[in-house]
Amino acid sequence: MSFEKNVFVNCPFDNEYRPMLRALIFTILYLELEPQIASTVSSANIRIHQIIKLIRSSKYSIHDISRCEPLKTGDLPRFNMPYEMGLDIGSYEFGARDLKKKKCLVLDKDKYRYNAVISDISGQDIKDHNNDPEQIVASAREWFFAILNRPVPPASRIWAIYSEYQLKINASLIANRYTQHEIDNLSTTEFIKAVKLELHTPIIGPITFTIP
Amino acid sequence: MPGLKATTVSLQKKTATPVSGIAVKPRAIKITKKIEKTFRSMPTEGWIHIIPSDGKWKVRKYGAVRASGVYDKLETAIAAAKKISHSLSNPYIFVQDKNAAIVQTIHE
Repeated sequence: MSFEKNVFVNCPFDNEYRPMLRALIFTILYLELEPQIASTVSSANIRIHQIIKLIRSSKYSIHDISRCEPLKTGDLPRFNMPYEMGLDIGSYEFGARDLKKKKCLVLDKDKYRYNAVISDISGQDIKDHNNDPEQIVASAREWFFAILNRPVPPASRIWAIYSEYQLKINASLIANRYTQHEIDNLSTTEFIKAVKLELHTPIIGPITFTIP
Repeated sequence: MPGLKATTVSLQKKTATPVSGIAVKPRAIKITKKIEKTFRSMPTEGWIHIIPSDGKWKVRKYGAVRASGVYDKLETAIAAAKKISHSLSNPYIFVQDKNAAIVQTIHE
């Protein structure tokens, strides 16, 4: 794993958030960076140790705190995302020399909602996505444009390429006998593999579609 | 094609072109083009893709000759896609929602 290319992604993994997560992960991969998510590591270790390892090995971090709320009425709010964000910011503040190079982006659904939820993060890079995958691409791209020392394509271009990818990945998976249900519920790890497979070895062959 | 502006892409382009108002280094173009070239080799002849983008609907034709156009309404975009599809053999029109999921497939 290369510290300079790794992006620690601290986001929800629920079904509702999946389109956002996929768009964000594609943006990272498209910019030739390497997404690091907690679900890509082995389940044999204690989760928080895995997360700490990912934080330590990633120069960049993206934290989405838009789901710091109960999934349904009566549930308790989820604190994993702010907790992991605190660890990451702490690693920058108290960690070794390399960790001082870390850059972090905080995402939320509304522009100033964080003031009510976790106002201590004022002054960090905070962007909103309005629960829209196209907007999350634009927010992440804008941040990468500011911190990467190289040109970054415009957000509309990344969104168009992502859409094309999604179409081709679906076609490839259908050709490989995946059902639509399996494609819709593809795990994040498998999605990353599928994108990388499309990046490096496109599947050439007859493609058939089921016409709804 | 009516309503669409043909935009054939040259993958061999080596000169710097502006992106977001700044001059793009040839190396960056090379990397991005390498990625795009790889997945463009997938057989997509006859595919027309309708994508929601920036509050409008973008129609993109894939294959050896690429084209794209932007429309305000989905109905207009589908009508334009159908017009293009008449000149193609075995055309497929894919309509995508804002979550990048294909919600409609039209085989003309």
